[in-house]
Amino acid sequence: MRELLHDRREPVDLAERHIGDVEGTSLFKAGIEYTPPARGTWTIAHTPMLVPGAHEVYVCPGNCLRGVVLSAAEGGFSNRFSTVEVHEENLYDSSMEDLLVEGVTDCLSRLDTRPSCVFVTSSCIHELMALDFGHLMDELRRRFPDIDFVESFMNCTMRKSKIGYEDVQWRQNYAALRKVPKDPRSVNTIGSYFALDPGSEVASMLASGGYRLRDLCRVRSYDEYQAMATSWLNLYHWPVAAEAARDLRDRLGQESLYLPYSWDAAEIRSSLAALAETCELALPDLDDLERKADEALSRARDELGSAELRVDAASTPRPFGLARLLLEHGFEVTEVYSDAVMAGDEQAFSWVRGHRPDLLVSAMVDFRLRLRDRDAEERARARGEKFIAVGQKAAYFTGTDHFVNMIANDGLLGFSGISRLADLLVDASRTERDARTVIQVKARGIEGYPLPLDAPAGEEASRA
Amino acid sequence: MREVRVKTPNYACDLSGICSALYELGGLIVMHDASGCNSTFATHDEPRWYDVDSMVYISGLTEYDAVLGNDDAYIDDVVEIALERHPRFVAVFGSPVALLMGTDFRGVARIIERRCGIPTFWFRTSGMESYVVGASQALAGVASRLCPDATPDTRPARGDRLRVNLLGVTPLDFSVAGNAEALVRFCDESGFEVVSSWAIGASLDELLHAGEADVNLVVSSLGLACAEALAEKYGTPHVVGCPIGTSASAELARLVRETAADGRTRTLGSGSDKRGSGRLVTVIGEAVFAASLRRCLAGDLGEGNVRIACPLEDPCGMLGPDDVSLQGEEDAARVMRDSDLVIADPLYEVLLDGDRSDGTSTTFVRFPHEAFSGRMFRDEIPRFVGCGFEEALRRSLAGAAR
Repeated sequence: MRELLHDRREPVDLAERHIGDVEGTSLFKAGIEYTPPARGTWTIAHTPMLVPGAHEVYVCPGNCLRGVVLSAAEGGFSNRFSTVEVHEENLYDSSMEDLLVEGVTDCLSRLDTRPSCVFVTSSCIHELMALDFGHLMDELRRRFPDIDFVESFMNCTMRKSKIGYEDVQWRQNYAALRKVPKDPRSVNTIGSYFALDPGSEVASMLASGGYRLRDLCRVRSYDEYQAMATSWLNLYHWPVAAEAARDLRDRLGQESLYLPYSWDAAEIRSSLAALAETCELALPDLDDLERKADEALSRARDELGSAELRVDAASTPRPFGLARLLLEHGFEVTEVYSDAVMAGDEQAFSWVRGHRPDLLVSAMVDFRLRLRDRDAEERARARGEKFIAVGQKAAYFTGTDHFVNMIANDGLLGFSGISRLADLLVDASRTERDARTVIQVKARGIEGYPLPLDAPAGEEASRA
Repeated sequence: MREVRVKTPNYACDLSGICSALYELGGLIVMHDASGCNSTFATHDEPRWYDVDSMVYISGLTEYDAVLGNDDAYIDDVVEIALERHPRFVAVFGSPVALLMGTDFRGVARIIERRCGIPTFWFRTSGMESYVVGASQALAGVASRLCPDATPDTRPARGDRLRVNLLGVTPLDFSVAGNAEALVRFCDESGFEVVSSWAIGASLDELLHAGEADVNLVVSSLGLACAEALAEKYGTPHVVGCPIGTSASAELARLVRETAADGRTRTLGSGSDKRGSGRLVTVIGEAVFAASLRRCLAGDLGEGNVRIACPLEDPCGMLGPDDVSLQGEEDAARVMRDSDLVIADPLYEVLLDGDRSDGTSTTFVRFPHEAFSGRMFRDEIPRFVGCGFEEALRRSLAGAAR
């Protein structure tokens, strides 16, 4: 392993620290937050759009509504999106239930075509008012028996609760699936904004075993969506999807297997072995796959040279795992932006802390980030050095146009995912992107959905 | 139902109005909310967010604090930042959840001010009112809380040039298309000296000199409450209207001079007492803008039959008896279909579906409004302030008619 080429940099404020100074896995105190203008992550308005034929009705106060309805307009799906605006009197005069039922009814009566499925989304205030949502859904189902109604929740106040609202949204994205007989040759991958690469080991193994892999990102009709209920197994890849996997197991009897978005070769091997055992599949030559991934990383390292890398936690659920992989392969990772150590990333965090104690960890939403200089790229260039960010937030905070535009792992999985990442690093090194324009677009890739069945992962990125 | 929309968005809300109005003044602005309210503002309502640092934050309210009604963390965090960053002032207000929690913002502000010694405002917000309501409170709050009390020396003897404050200037109505600068230029060309612009391109220190002005020019509905606060404090009269095109600009300049002379408040009119005949033109938008554009259409382009359809509050009383206060999307669609020509944000166009009953169709002229479509059509927003805009408008009307 090479030594850091750059001088040890000191933290600029209390929202930045050397990883070696972190005790336990608690990074930063939660508190007042800033929202950086990197918008490529998906919101609750976007996720239900993956269900073909679904229509969203948001029943919320105006300020919340405005964010989601403009997301729909910008994303080009306004025709699948309606709103019922809550006013202050609805909080006090017992009209909230009527507003929801009559409002949704009015929305549906105004649509040109009848949707197959309607996500009725409430907000924080409904939760706190203890609205009997089940009763209201029953009434809507009575009025519109041909429509599958799904409760949905734009409940930001639940962000840090036991089950986060993103987890809940993924669960609800599959809530309209009805229990049907299982197809022993059908498997789902669930809970990802980005399609699984058909060239990944997981997809290849399943294909060679005669399995059909169903992926919501590639589903093109409501019938195809419903066919996901025929699968006997759900693969999921990050903790946010665990709640969906649990619900599908309880409701539909589908088994689940966690194949994490891992950057660790041993864990990838273990995952593939688990898949092989669960589905009675032959294992590919893992040594060969790992060797190819290592070769790709070596090529990338040669291309990047001493370029400084910074990784953010919006690009991957395991930023410390990615930092470890890159450090072990000779890259100059100097900073990770992450507000917390996420589930599954603890071991990698400890490894980085032990091996690179002077690597900096920075918060992403701490108020101090608003006031920090964003000129790392400029300073690196003045030194005649290269600078590359992994993730939109890292790009913004460093001011670089050389960045890997990756969100929530981009569907990159296994050794093929590592190889693909290596290619993306090379591309980021060679290509300047206008970060200011690129990262302010919400929900990267949504305009490319649904993907053709054979489109490689990352296809949506190129379309974006 | 007026609450239902299936084709159009709603306007920016009160929280965004406050943040927009206070954005450049060096304060610490903290919404008591979990996440979404700040995201809406920063993404869709604030064109300065990427480039201009401002201490606009959310408290990161959690479920447990909401259920327990615990505001202590909010107070402690705000005080911590205030003591670390020394803002010029602190502003606290909340989301719908804070409203439901019953957070006592008056008390919160008092505690914060006592603990950190920095002037602290509170605003009554719900996340359910329009940006007009929010920004009005914010600008009036600065005037009443921060501007110094009047003294015999507050307003120096008048020189050659009348002194004016521009009230109600935010990107929500003027975007970042050069309109704020054009307002200053209009004043300069009219022989007026701008004391302060509330609140684009001015520091808080400039605003604190507002008492020196002879007349306040209220250029949007957002500025009226501020004008009233300044009138109470300094006795300054105001004129309402925005200099859009040559006719409105000339008339406004005249009104400012008359008001400076006699101290009577005045409002830019349409140029005639009654709507004339001819094709029916409907302008949808914020009331002062729409009324001022009507003046331009009538005075510069000869459109005698212009109607305002206002989906927002009209505190300045710009709407006449033939104008319409829009009550929701269906109402807007009906009003638009009744018109021969509609000037409105592009997101309204979808409400014009098909020909009218007489077989004719309504012509639509795109005029993006940041408070409605956010950043979507920002590049299309014209520099509408000042003499000469009527030529661009004439071309737009002609182009749309084709």
